[in-house]
Amino acid sequence: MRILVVEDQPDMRRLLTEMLDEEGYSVDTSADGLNGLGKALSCDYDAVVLDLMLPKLNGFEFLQRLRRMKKTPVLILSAKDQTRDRVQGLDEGADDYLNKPFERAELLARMRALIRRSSGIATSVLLVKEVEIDFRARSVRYMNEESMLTAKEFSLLEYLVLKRGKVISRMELYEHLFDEIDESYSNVLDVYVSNLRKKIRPDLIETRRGMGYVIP
Amino acid sequence: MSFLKEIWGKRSSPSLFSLLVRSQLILLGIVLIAFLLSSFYLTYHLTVRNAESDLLAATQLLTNQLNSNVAVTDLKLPDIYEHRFGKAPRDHAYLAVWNSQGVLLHQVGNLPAFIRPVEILPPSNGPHPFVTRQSGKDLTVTIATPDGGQLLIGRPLAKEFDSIWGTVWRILVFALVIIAAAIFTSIRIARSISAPIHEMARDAQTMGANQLDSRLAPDQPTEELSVLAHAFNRVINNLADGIRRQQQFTADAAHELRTPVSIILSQSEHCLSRERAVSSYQEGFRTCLRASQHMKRLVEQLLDLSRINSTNSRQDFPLVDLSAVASEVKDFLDPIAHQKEQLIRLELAPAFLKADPIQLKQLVLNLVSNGLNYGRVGGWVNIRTYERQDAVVLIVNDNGEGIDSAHLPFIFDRFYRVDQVRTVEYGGVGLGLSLVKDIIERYGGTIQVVSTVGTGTTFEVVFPRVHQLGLQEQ
Repeated sequence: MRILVVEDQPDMRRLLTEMLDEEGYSVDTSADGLNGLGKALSCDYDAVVLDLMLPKLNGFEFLQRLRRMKKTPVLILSAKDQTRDRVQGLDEGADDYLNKPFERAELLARMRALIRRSSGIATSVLLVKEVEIDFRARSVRYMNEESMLTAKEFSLLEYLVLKRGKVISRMELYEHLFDEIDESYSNVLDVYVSNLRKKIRPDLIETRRGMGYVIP
Repeated sequence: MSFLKEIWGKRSSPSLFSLLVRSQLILLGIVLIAFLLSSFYLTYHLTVRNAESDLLAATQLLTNQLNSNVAVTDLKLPDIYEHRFGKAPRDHAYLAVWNSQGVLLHQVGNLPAFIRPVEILPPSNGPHPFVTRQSGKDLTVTIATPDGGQLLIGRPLAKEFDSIWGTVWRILVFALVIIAAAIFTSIRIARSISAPIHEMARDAQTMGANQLDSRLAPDQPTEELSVLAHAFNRVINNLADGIRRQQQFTADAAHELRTPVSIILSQSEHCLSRERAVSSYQEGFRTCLRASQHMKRLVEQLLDLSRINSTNSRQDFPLVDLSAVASEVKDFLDPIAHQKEQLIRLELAPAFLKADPIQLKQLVLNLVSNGLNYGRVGGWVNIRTYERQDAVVLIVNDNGEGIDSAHLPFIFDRFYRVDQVRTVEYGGVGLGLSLVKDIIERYGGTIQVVSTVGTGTTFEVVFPRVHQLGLQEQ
């Protein structure tokens, strides 16, 4: 899952990046609204964490302009806690609103919920081919046995599960699993996929030659 | 009866209504009593004078009888007076004649026991040749007889007194009717005066600290009430403004504290969420430290602000030389200025002012460090102080970036930041210039700012001169 964090306060920006990164998200950042909008429009993010008081382009304007082009899920994370700000934020097209100061667990839960909802899934535990995938604990069980996955492996599985039935191109997977700083080699994906097959069950992910991967 | 109790009942603070009714009734009572007394006195006096002149006329007739040699013992009242004095025995007149030795020579009618000759004879002529005496209902007139004796004629004024008392009673009954009517009208008048005040008081009572939106109706039935309502509304307006400003300030302050608090909270949670490398903890602590330092600055400035607003402005402040304060500030800020190769220049002339020296230092410090913050590398900030005929002037100007004219009206607002950005660390707290303005206004001064983008900014502070400096409230 690839997430864009638009936040002008440097310490807060670094913190959000670290928190999300540790949860297996790949994170891009912007320090102002204009730069953030450029990134959000040019790349398909799975979610955007948006501050409201931003230089150059404030959060509301960011949302207005983003919504003309895209439906990317947006979570507003702002110190503005007045009802009218929350109402305006949600009406401008935000999907969720969280006040600063916030708690880490709540932010992460809201991010998960946001991404889940945008994929049309209601619960945080999903059964796919007898494999139990828990998005909250980020764990996978098959035949009552837990498989130990790395963060990136889980993210790959998560992405394919959320887009179940669709053939996902390698290009798209790269875009959503790695941020702009990650150095990705073309065979990294193949390694992750074969690890998942080994660790869970061999027929979980199917390869469509020349098109990509799919969980049918 | 209950309203009588309301009007006359004993209460520690009587109502306006009862005071009005009481005062109206008391006034009416005084008028009625005065009327009663004066009409009684007038009637009585007139009656007595009438009777006296009748008696005098009778003495004249009797004197005529004496002069035509009628014997003293044959003297009698002429019949013509019978009808004037009344036929009833209680109205019967009487007369008595004494000789010069005081021996009673003759008497007619029932002479009451207390009748005596007068001690000093009245003159036989002149403006007042008789003595009138009154005893109880009896009125007597005594004149001197030609032979040196005296002649008294008198009668009881029974008929007249009957009529006087009759009049008194009629007036009393009349007064009672008037008082009854007066109670009715005075209650109505008092109601019409006190009801609007009551209503106003009730309206005012419903306005609590949380309901400052409602106002009293500005059009009241009387001019005084309208003035009062206007004054009250003005006070409420000021109060509401103050509370609104205070609420805004509290909200702003809370909002400003939110950023460092979120960072400290998130950073600590993040650090503790799993075991980490030492360098990662160090980075976390550095972040918390920066956020705490920012909070500390914020809290200190908030305290400064509230301190300035709570200083007693009537206090007797010492005479402070603004130029000395300025060079002190230069010494303090020079090391910081050197970091950006900036120069603090002084153009000082003595400028004396009665003020708190610490606050003055804060004022100059904030203006100069503001100039340094927004100044360019290698730039300068100039401090100038001097006295004019009527004012003490402080000018701080720099050759920095200048302030966009769109921002100028707001730079003294609390938490307003021209850059609006905290991209580079935390930046200022946004209270510095607000503090400056508060200090200046504290001492009755004014501040003006002129700025051109790219050229620099000039702050001009003007205080009234000491000899005409009336320290101002707030």
